[in-house]
Order: sequence, then structure tokens, then C-alpha cells
Amino acid sequence: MIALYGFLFAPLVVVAGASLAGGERPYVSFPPDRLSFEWYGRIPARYVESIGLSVLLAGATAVCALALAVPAALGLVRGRFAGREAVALFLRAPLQIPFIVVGIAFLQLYYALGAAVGINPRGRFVGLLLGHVFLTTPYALGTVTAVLQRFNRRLEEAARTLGATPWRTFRRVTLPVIMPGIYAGALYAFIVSFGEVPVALFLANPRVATFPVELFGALQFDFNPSLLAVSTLILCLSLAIIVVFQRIIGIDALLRATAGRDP
Amino acid sequence: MTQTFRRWIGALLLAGAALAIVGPATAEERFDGVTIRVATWGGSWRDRIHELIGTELERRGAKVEYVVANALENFNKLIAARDSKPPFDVMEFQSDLWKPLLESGFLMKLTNADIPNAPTHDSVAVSTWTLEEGIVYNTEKFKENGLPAPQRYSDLLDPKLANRVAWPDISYGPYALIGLSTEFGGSELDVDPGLARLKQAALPYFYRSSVELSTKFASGDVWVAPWHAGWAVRVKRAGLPVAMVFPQVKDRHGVIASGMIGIVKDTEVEKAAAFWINRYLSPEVQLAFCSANGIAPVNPHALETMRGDPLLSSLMLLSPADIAKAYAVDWNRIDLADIVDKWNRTTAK
Amino acid sequence: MKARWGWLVVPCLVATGTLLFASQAVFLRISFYRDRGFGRVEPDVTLANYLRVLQDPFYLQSLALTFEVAIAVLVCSLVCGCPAAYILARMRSRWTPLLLGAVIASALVAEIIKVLGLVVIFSADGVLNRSLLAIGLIDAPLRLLGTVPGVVIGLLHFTLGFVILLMFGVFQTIPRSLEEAARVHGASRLRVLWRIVLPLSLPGMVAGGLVVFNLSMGSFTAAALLGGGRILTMPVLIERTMVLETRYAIAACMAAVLMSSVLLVNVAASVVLTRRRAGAVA
Repeated sequence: MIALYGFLFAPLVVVAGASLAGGERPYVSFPPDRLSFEWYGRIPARYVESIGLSVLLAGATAVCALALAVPAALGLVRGRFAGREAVALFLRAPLQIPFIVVGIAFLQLYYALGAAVGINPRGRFVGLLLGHVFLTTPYALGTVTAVLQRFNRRLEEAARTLGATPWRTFRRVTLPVIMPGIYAGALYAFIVSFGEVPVALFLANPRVATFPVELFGALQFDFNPSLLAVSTLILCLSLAIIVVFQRIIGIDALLRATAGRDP
Repeated sequence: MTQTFRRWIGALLLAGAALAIVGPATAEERFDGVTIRVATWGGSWRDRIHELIGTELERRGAKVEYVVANALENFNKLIAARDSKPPFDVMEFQSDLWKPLLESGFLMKLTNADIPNAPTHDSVAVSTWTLEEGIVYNTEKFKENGLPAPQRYSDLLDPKLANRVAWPDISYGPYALIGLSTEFGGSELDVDPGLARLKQAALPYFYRSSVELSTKFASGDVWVAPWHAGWAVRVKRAGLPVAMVFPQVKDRHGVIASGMIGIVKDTEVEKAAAFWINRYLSPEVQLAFCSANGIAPVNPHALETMRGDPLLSSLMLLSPADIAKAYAVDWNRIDLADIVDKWNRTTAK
Repeated sequence: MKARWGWLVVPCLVATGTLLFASQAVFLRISFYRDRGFGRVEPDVTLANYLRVLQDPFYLQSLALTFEVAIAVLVCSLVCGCPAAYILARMRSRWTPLLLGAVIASALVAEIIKVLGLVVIFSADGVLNRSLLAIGLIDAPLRLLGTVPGVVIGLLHFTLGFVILLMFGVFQTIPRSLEEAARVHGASRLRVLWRIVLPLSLPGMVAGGLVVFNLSMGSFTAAALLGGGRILTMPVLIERTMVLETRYAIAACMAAVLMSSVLLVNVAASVVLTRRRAGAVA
């Protein structure tokens, strides 16, 4: 376990360490020979703006992906119709397309749309959102399905025999139990959307780019430790948010969902 | 009354005469309400361009937006937008995209009237700076290990340097490959000799990003690499002990590529775009921009001034004579797609 | 009642379907034409591109390499991720949420940044090599850049997070009481794992495994940045053909071949799984 966490965090330690490098360093220097927080102070406003956009986009993506995936998962796991497996497969298809292909294909699609109907979503938030939702829905679908398959139907039946309506059953019995899957799906969607480059690169707006695209652009040509500083800040911020989340709502909510006890 | 009247007329005439003399110089060209979109590289490149050119346009009422990606990606965006409004108005690129852009007709003809700072030729793009490719090496490491300074591209394939050399991947550009090929009878049209030697040398990896390479230079992992002067300047400014060699390529020394800029066809802001280019070519901007980035300006005055800087002149070719002696790849005849394909096949593990 | 569930799939199906078909139609259409450079194509429809891609050993090798990498990542992710997720799910500790949070936080850092960190770690004079040399595990510095293991490690940083989070959710739904009951009846820890936990979590593992597999097959960043220009997996090759050579037709063709092979694997996996489930019921 320790090894695992060490493995996951090693590059992050390097990045954090290098972000403290003082002086002009157009490269990653680790261990840094001069420690200083100067690059933290020199983070351009542009990066902060793009982080805001990325967070917004990722959040919206997660919500939309779940809105599509939860019903679909229910339908796939519980429905009985011909070609169910085929549909499941089909819905997983976006995962199998290299992101860069998705990027260029969507760009071409948007232009074709623009030519045909006059609406070109390129460069607009909606355009990016569509692309990201397309990419991330399969993830959400996968996680919710996985958890749903494990779900014990008898819990629902018990509730029904006690007189609960289907909606009530869903809301108070099913939903809490499959929450881990939903959280995981939302998380995946958020993570994928927050970090992806190729699609955002092609569908983005000249005014504000998403954070990874900014990073990518800066890394291609030019680099300075402020990039590392921002990334380290994101890391710390995420950890902080999670701690706060835990205090207020309690990831216990996630843990409490271990309700599936056999009757 | 008549006297006052005459005085007024006199004053007006005087003012008019004064304006006529000083006139055009103070009647500033305004771009109110204009939004100009510039396609260029990112990071500090864009920041500096904005500082030197963008802010001036903003001062004159324009709004400036940047489409940041490398030139090839921007080219792809132009292709995708082929039948509709172009995604940007001004495009910066390098001479390797010259032929594709010319043939695909995305850029409009530039007339000298709009861009007085450009040398006289009318075409779809003008050169803005010169990229100087050569070999960058770490002088300290070489001295420590008793190695002679590299002179030619083939020197880098010496087994003694085996794990300390970083050869550029084709996505960086074909310069080093071309340079190597010419040593064995090839050229930009025939890169097979170079490819054969590279395959033989079985180099462990090829660098794609200059940031990656500079990290490796800094950590001492890499001692020598084909690279361009711009990066040599930057890492030297960061304190690394590097020197630059412009190896022999046919009868020339070093390989150069030009930075170019053009205006996209069907743009709605032609005047602003022309202003942009003109300003890019002005002596002050050329000097400031090129000194910061380690590239050679096309403006001769700027070039001369840069010669006065010891760090720059130690790493760059800063006299017109030297630059003329460098090898300029014949982009008109080169088939880059073919080279990339051959490269992929030869270097894949 | 049963039939009603099926309808819930419709919105997702419609959304994904339209986007998928529309974008791919536009993109793949050109794979049936010959390239003329700069994204332009010849006017006649032809299968020449497909023939070329499927017969040229260069492309086939690239496909094989892509599979190699994806399978390696799959195996490592599951082998390392599942036990970790299980431990996390079973830990009754205050630290669990924080540990989970740490995984999430690490996943939010852009892949590129992590790769930069890895480049530094992998360097010949880097921390990794120096410590391994000091311990005496190796006699010469390990070369990880430009090798398959290097790319696999890079991808692992990306996929482990997913696996841990997913399997955590799955293990959550397996009641502890079930395991405890088995232990009470005398089963060893290992037996419990093997006969109870594993079969119950298998669908989840397969789903997660497929996600990891698909991700790895389509991954570009890790292979491009850590592959040192020598590990040319299909996505890297497609990107080069598209962006560097602007030969859209053959790039689209390669993309189609890649997608079909991934699809095949997914189909095979689900067929096997259905048969297993049917077998278990019977």
C-alpha cells in the first residue's frame, strides 16, 4: 500500500519540489538548488482563469454524463430486450476512440453543422461540453453499471412489499446503495474532463482555454516553474477540498452506503 | 470685426499649414471596434508578442485574441475551416509550412503598400526571423570527459556519446536529419543516408519537446543535442555552460529556418493584420523580441545591435555574411509527409 | 415492468449515438478516399487505404505494440489497484476518506505534469537510478524513456486512480457480513477472497478492466511523451499522420482499424462474461 502511494505520488513530489526552484529555469530542476516561492507569486492570471473554466466545464460534464448514464445503467442492467449487450457495447464505444480523433472529428462535425444549419458550436462552451460529455458518459455508465450489478434486488422487493412506490423505492433504497458508483462516475467524468487535452485543444475558444490546453501550449514552447507551482496548488487545493468535504458531508456518506446486508 | 476675422483665418491657415507638415505622423491609425485574432505559439512567446505588438493595437482601440497552438495544429484548424470563416486572421509559422500554406491557398497576397517595413516582394507571407539550428553541447561535461567539441552531425553518433546524446524526433523538425544526410551524399530530397546511420546508431530515444530536453541538459543526463540557438540562449541565461556549433552541411555551416507570418484569406480585419505584421518587422520590436528569444531578426539594424551582446554573439550567427553561409532548406521541393513516413518506419522499435 | 426499464436507456443512446455517428461519419468518410495532402483527397472511393493498413507490417506492428502496452497496463492496474481498493474498502479507519481523497487529488493533476516529473525521476542521474544503484539492485542506470515499461508506468499513473476508485465502490457493495459469515464457518482469509470476494467483484473488475484497456489503447500523451519517439503506438502514429503529414484519409483509416480491434476485444469480453453468467445460473 505504501509502495503504491509512493509510486503515485513520486512524480508529484518532484513537481512540487521543482516548483520551489528560484531563479530563471526554463526546465524542471529537481532537486532545486535554490529554494524560493517566487514562482508562486508569478502565476499569470491567465492560468487562474483557465482553471476556473476547466472546473466549470468538468462539473457540468459530470452532471450531464450522470444524467445520461444513471438511467442508461438501470436500463441495461435491469431491462430485458433484444440486443442489450450490443447496446452496452455501443455505449462504450466513445472510450475506444483516441481522444485526438474525437477532437478533430468533432471539429469537422461542428464545421459541417455550421455549413448546414448555421450553428457552429466550435469555440463555445456548449461545443466543449458536448465533446466532453461524449467522452465521459461511458465512464459514468461503467461505474454505475458495476455497482448496480452487485445490487441486491431483494432490498427493493422488500420495500415494494411494504408499500413503497417505485420512485420512492428508487430514491430511498436503490439510490443510496448505488451512490458509490455514482460518486465514482461523477469523479471520473470530472477527472477526465479536467485533464484532457486533445479535444479541448481543437474545440477551444481563443479567448480562454481550458487549463490543460494552456499547460500544453506553454510546455510546447516555453516553460517556467510557475506551471509546476500551479499544479502543486491544484493538488493541495484538491486535498484541502476533500478534507473539508469530509468534515462537512463526510465521505462517510460514501462509506455508509455499505447498506447491502443480506436479509 | 474684419481684423478679428482675418486673425482667425490667419490662425486657421497657420494651424492648417502646421498640420499639413506634421500631419500624417500624428494622425494615428485607429482600429476601434476591431477584433484581431492571431495564431501563434504559446507561453512567453505569446506574452512577449502581446507586450510588443498586441498592446500597441489595443492602445489604438483594437481587441486582440490569441489562438495558441503550434503552427501545424493551427494549420489543421485552417483545413477544418476550409469552407467557412477562418478561425484566425494572422498566422505565424515556420518555413516548413511554407509550401503547404502556399499550395492550399489559405493566405492572401501581401502588398508592400500595407507593410512598408517588409522587403520588397509580394507573396503570401514575409519572413520575420531566422531560426538557427546547430549542435548544442555542455562544455563542462565535454571537458571533464576529455571529449573534443562536436563538429558535425555525424560526431553525435559516436558510441562514446551513446547515452548522452538526444536526437530530435521528426516532429521537432527535419533539420538535423537533413544535416546528417548531406554528410553522406543526401539532401532534403534524399534523407535515406541519414536514416540509415540513425538506425545503425540505435539511439535509445528521440526528444520531442524542448522543455524535456532542457530538463535533461540541466540534470546532466544529456550532454549534446542538435538544437536551435534560441534554446541555447535560454539555458545559458539560466546558468548552464553550453556552447553552440554550426556544423558543416554541404558547403555551408548550420541550418536555418525562417519564421514567417501571413494574413489569412477572407479575413475581415486586413488593415489591422497588415499593421500587426508591419510592427513585427519594425526595428524596435525585432530587437526586443529576437534578443529575448535567441533568434536572428530580419531587420539589419536590430541584427547589428544584437551583435553587441556577448552572450548572444557567443551562441548565434549574427552577421548577414554568416547567415548567408548557413544552409537554407529548399522548402519548395521538400516532401515532409514522405520524410515523416520514412522516419516512422525506420525509428520505430 | 421489465420492459419499462429498457426505455431508460434511450436518452443516453440517442445522445451518444448521434454524436458518435455524426462525428465519425464526417471523419471516417475520408478513409475511403486517397490522400492528396493537406487534408485534401482524391474524388474516387476506394478501399486502398484499408488494404494498405491491413497488409503493411509497419502498421500491424504498431497495432500489436498498442495491444502489448494496453494489456500490460491492464494487468498491472488490476494487480496493484484491486488489493489497494479492497484494503481501503475494508479498513475501518478515520484515514480512509483521506487516502481516497489523496488518490482523487493525484488524478486531478494533469498527465503532462506528472510525465515531466517522471522524466526527471527516470533520468540517468535521477533519484530512481541513484537509489537503485546505491542499493545494488542494478549495475547500470535503467533506461526507461523510450521503452515500453516507461510508457506503461506513465499510463499506470493515470489508470490506477480509476481502478482504485471504481473497485472501492464495487467492494463497498459486498457486505462484510458475508465474509465474516464465511470466516465463522472456518474458511481461511485466502479462501474467502478467492471464493466469495473475487466472483462477486468480477463483473466490476471486468468493467474496470475494459475501461483501462480502452483508455490505454487510445492513449496518446503518455506514449508520445515517454515513448521517446520510438514507441509508436497506433494513437501516436495516427496523430503524426494527421498532424505532421496532414494525410487525413489514411489517418482516418488507421483510426477505424484501431477502433474496430478495440471493439472486437470488448465484444469478446462481454460474450465470455454473458456465457459465464449464464453458466453460473445454470
